[in-house]
Amino acid sequence: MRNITGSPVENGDFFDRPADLARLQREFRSNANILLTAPRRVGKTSLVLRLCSLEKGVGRHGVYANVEGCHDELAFAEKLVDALNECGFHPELMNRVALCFRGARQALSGMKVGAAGVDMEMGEAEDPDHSTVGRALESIFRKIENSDTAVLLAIDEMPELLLALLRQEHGQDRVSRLLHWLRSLRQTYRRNIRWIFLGSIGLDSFVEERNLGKTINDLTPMSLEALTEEEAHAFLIALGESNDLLLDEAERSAIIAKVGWPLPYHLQMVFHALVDIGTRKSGTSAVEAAFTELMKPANLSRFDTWRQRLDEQFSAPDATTAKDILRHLCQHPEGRSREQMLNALMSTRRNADAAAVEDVLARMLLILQRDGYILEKNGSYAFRSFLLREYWNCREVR
Amino acid sequence: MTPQLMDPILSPHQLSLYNTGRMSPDRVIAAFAARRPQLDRILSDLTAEPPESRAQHHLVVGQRGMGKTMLLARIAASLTKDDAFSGRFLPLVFAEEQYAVDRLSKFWLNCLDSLADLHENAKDRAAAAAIDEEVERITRGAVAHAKNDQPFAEETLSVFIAAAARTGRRPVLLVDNLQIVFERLSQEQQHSLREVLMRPGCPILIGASPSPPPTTSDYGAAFYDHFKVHYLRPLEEQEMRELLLHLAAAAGRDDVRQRVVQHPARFKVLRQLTGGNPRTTVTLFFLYAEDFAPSVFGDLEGLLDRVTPLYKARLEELTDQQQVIVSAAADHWNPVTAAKLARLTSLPATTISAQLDRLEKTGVVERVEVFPTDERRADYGTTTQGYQIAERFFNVWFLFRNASRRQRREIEFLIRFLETFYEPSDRTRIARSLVNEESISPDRNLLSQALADSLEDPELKTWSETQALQEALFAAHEDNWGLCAGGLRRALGVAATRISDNPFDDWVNAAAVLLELNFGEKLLSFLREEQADVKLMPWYEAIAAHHAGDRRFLQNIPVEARVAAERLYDGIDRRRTVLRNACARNEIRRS
Repeated sequence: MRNITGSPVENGDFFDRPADLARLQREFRSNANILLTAPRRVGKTSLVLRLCSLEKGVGRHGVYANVEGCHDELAFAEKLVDALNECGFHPELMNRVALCFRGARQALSGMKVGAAGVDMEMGEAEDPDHSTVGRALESIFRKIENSDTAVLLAIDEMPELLLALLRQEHGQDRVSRLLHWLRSLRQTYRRNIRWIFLGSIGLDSFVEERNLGKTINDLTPMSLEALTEEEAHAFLIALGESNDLLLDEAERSAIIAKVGWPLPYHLQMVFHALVDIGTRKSGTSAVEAAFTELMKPANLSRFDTWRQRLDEQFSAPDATTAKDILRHLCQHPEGRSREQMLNALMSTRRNADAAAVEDVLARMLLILQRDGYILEKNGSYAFRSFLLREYWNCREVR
Repeated sequence: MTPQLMDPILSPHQLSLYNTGRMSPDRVIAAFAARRPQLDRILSDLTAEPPESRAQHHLVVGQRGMGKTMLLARIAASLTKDDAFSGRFLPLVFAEEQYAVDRLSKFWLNCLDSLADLHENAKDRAAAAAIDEEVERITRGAVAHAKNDQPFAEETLSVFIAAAARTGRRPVLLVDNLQIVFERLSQEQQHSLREVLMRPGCPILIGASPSPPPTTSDYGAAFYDHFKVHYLRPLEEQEMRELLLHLAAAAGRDDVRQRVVQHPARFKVLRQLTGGNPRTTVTLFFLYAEDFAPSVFGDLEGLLDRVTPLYKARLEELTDQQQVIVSAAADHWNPVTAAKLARLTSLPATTISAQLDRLEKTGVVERVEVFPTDERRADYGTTTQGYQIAERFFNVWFLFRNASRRQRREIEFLIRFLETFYEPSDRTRIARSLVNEESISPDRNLLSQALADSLEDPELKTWSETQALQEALFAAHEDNWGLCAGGLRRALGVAATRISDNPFDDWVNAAAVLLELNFGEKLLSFLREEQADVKLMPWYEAIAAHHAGDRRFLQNIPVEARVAAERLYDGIDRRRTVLRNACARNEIRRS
């Protein structure tokens, strides 16, 4: 297991999360299509890559497609076909469809796809299967459905594609059409095809904000949490063993306590800092030194924008509430319940209507979660990143 | 471990400041010393990278001069020269400034260019020509795609991926100033780039940036927490020692190695002067190479010229308010409190505090303790927080380059430099060697003045005073009042001797010459500005009486100064007569 920070991990670098994987597989067996949500850096992509790999291991196809580089429906279709092609699924058909798409792209000659979106014609009217982008893709799904092999389609970063479409002409309409079309595919081809959507921006937030919730109401929402304390210990043991830096229980506990919410990314980051300070000495003093290094003012200054953004994004009263919430949470690494936060807010708003404050609190908690400031686990809210928490503590409390 | 002497690969003057990109891999390997742990870690990660992995990408973060470019060059050198890497990776190096990259297609075109360069360096002209042809083919229609770069970017990427695949090696993109690339790419294109960098077997990106680019730290941005970040921190004394020993070995200079070993105390000063900045340390290596001899100061101005782009860029990176604050702190030289900075800059105290906070985080200023020396102050005997420019050599440069009264500042910067860098015994040794020289160049004169001003040695001070007055008179003869005033100001600053009425006294002589050259009015006005009309009242009044052309003028001044003033008046008078006679003789000779 290598010390990797930032990039998705596979094979021996992936720290197994059997419970989460089993949960997902169970849902697929009961014909569910899944929307996997979690804050960034929790490890969604790595988990899904492992899932795809496990599918292959049992004779099915696990197809992963990151569509964030796609800026139109045609590119989305091309990406899906490329991903299916890599699995070796019906190469002849795939090549034929891929050629159709390439021809359509050349015919565009640098022009944009335009209002037709997924219904864009491809100049092959004599073959109804390939007359439009959507129909060409559907021909593949039909083939899969009629075959003996099940396929799991993992679509990463779908909201990035949708945002790119929104910025183009007829964007709203094209986004709606694409989402409806995908929903109809999921409804039509249910025997052999399973879908899982994931991404940095939650697809649920995206559709909710644009009143398109019904386009994904068939998806089963599932979330991915930080590691449990036990898992975090196992993670650090594995990382230490592979990198010639064994950590004893006290060191591991010190790391986990300081991090608060043990995301694999944060554990990897602390481990990197331990290696970076060049220590080989044992004891929690090395851990302290690594945290001191990570929390140097120069390393935390990048969070200035997180603080400034609150004033830019919110009205003055909302910004004040957001800051009050974060000021409170940064003093409680273990997390606080909603009631505890309400009490903290009310202590500085003595004449305020508690119901109104509670409404604002609920709204702000959702937004702060969505924007990556905090996360919620078992009814307790805490800073998602221990570094951001430390920054907030330095700037707002100490 | 002490580096062993090797065959000299570098001369001290070849330790390039800005052209790392033009150094051969051998020279880069020879010169590289300061960032060994970071190099080892990145190379170790590359070694462990399976061929079809979704790669670990790296970001090297450090202020200018902290060794980012050198580290990237050193990685490239390893990937080129080391058999463990050369068969697996294609190190693609880009121009340091990526200003032309405003869209993703240009980024991939740069990759193709760099790949063609690599082939050409390896004498594989056919491969280079093949790439050139491909580029020619795809760029022919590029104008038509100007408004929608995506298809062209994808085409360029495919050509690049195919060209790299033909080598059987995995591209490693070494991009300096990565923040510039990110700033210029649209959000959509940043996501496209991220998608490519998440593919199995993708090119590995190793970027460098002065601070983490916003796209790597904003939660909603494409590259949020995407890189393994390596911070380049200021070098510690021990690391600086190792760097200098390594350079001595690379330059084949055992004498320098000896000096480094024999003068451990100097590292403290060098650390203070450079702020632990490797580039400045390398820059000052020549001081060791020349054994801190006076002659090196002939090079010092050249050195300041060479560091100007580096420091100028550092200054320009700051916001307007930060520039004002940094200027005031640099002008002050010594640690200054936030309250005093507020007075000096006329900025609100809250603004000063917030900006100092940011400047400290970016390493431009550092927080130090200040000990109030004024016994009348309530806080006398306590300590308070002050700020100073973190890298002292940057402060020296600032005084030299950014002050209005240039001549005065030149001296000031040298005094600061000498005080910081040399112990008093060294300064005396150098100053005396200069005093004993028969002829002295203007640069050396400047140095000697500064040395004398930094010392308490009365003999040297007198000599310095004389030098300054002579320089003033020389400038007056050239009709350059600005330079003349500079010399006078320095002489007044030293004021080591008492002015006598001897017509050969330097001050009497100066007054006589300036009056004869019709600078009387300017001289009197200047002396009043410098408050010398009070400090040197008899001399001032004697000049004023001469300028008025009437000795009786002196009867108006206080009696305790009058006698001395009258003697000086007479001394100046005698000297003026001598000067006029000499002038007349010269006229006769000329006729």
